[in-house]
Amino acid sequence: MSEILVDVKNLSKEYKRGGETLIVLDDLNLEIPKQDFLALMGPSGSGKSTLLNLIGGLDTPSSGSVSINGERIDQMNSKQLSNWRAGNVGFIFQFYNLLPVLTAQKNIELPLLLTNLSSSERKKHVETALSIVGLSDRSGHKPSELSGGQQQRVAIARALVSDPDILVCDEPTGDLDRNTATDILNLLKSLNEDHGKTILMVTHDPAAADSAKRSLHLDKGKLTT
Amino acid sequence: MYWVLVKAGVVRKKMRSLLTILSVVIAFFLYGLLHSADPLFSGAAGEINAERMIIMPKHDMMFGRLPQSHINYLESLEGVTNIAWLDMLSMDINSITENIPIFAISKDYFKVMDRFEASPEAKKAFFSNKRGALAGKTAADLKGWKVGDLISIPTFSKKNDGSNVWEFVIEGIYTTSPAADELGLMVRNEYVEEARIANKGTVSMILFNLDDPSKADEISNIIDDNYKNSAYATFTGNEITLSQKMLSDIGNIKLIITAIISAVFFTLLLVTANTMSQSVRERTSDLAILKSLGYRDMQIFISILLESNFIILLGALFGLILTLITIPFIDQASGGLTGGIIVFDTYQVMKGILIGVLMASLAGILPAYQAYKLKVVDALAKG
Repeated sequence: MSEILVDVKNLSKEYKRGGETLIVLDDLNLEIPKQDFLALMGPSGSGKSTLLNLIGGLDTPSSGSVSINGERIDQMNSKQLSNWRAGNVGFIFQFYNLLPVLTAQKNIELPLLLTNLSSSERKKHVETALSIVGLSDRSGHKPSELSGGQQQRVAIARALVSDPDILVCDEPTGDLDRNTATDILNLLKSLNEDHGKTILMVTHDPAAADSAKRSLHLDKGKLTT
Repeated sequence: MYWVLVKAGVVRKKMRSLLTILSVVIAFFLYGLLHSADPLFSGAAGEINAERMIIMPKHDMMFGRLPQSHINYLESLEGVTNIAWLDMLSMDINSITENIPIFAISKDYFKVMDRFEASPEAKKAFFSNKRGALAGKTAADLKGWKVGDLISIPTFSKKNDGSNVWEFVIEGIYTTSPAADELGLMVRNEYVEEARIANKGTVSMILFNLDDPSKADEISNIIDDNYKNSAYATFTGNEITLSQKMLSDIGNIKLIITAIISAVFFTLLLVTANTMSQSVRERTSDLAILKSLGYRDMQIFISILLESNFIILLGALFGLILTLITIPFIDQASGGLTGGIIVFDTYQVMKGILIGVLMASLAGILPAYQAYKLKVVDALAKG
C-alpha cells in the first residue's frame, strides 16, 4: 500500500443561507495515496468542487480534518495556507485562468516569484515546465494568441512549475473539444505516471474519469462509491 | 514580484490607464503652474525679505501721500538706523504700456533697499547729476537705453516750467531680484521735489532699517499709533507684509488658488479611486488565481496600492516636468519679468510628489482592501 498523501477525516462543510444551514459535505472520509490519479464525479451541487477547494487549501472546513503529507491544513491561518499552497499544490481550472496581459512564460513564472529563486533559475524552471507540456515554442505568446488546449497546457505548466506534490484539477477538459480534451488528459496521465504527481480531478465527463486510476462519486455531500 | 503585478494591472486596459495618467498629468501641471506663482501671493518673491521696513499711506497704498514730516518723526525713534524715501512720478497713462515706472529715490535708498544693486561708479555718477537716472536692467533692455542716453518721459506731474515731459540722463543700470523690480527707472528725489508743481513736501513711501529686526512689530505699532487719527494715517510693515497687504486689497487670491487646486485634486481622487475600483472588479478572477497560487492577501493589497501609486506618480512626474519645462517659456514671454516670481523649486516638486503619494494611497486603499478581502472560492465560483 502506497503512502497516504491526502487524509480527510470526518470532513463537513456547511454554509448559512439566510436562516438555513446548507450542508455541502457531510462527515466525509477520504484517503488518497501518493501518485494516485483520482477522479471525483457527481451531479452539480454534490460538493465536488468544495471538497477540491478544501483539499487545495482554498477553503476551511466547518469540522473535521484535512491532512496533506501529514500537515493539518485545516488548522492553518490564511497566511500559512497561502505559503502552503505556494509550495505544495498546483491548481488547474476549467477556464485556464491565465493573466491575459502576460506571456505564457510570465504566467508560468508567477508562482516562482514568491520564491527566492534567481531570475535565471526561474527561467530554467519555466523552460522545463514548458517542455513537459510541449509548448517550448510558445513561451512568448500571450493567452489570446494561443488555442484553448494550448492555454490549458500553459495552466498545467504553471501548476507544475513549483513542483508540488498534488495537482488539483477542476473540470480541466470542460471547455475543450474531444480531441484536445484527450490530449490534456494524456498529459495529466503522463504527469501522474512519469513524473509521480498525485492528481485529484473533478469532472462531469465519464470519458475523462476513465483516464484516472480510480473514480469516486459524490452525492449530497457524501461519497457513494 | 510587485513590478510584474503592477505592470500587468496597468497594461490590462491600456487606454483607460493612459487617460487616467493624462488626467493626473493635467492636474499636476495645473498644481505646478499655480503653485509656482506662490511667491507672488505670499509677498516673498526673490530677495524680498522681512528686514526692510516700509511706511505707506494706510488708506490708499497705491496713490496716497505721506508728508515729509513723517521722516522727521521717524528719525526721532530709537532703533531706526537707515532711512530713505521714495516717490512715484506719475506716468502718462496713455503711454503706460510704453513707459516704465519712475521712482524718485532719496540718497540712502541703496543702504535701506540693499537688494537693489548698481556699480559704485554708476551710483556716484547718479548722485552727482541732478537729472541722473539709473535704469533697471529689464527696462534698459526693453527700451534699448544705454549709459549716457538722454531720455524724455511724459508724465502726469507738471514741472515748474509748465511741461510734463521729464528729461533724465542714464548714468547706470541697476539689478535686483525679483526681476520684475528691474522694470523701473530710478531718479533723484531732490530733483523731482524741486522741479514739480504738485505734491511738494510729500512722498509715496518711507523706507528704513532697524538695529534689531525683532523690534519690527513694536516699532511698526508705535508709528501707526502715532498717526492713527491723522489725515496721513500710516501702515507700517516689512516688505513681505506690505506686499501681502496690497494683495489682500485686491482679494484673497491665494485662497482662491488653493480652492481651485483642492477641487481639482478632489475630483482627480474620485476619478482615480473609481478607475482603480473598476479595475479591481474586472480582475476579480485574476486576483483569485494569484491567491490560489500562494500570493498572500497582504501582497495583493500592496500590489494594488503600488499600482495606484504608479499611475498617479507617473502622471504627477510628467505634470511636474511639464511645469518645469513651461516656466522658462512663461518667463521668456513676460520679457523676464516673472524671473524670481514664478518659481517652482525642489520644495514644491517634493510637495507635489508627496501629494501624489497621499492621493494614490487614498485612491487605492479601498480597491486594495476589496482585493485583500477577496475570497478565492467565491471569486472563482463567480468566474
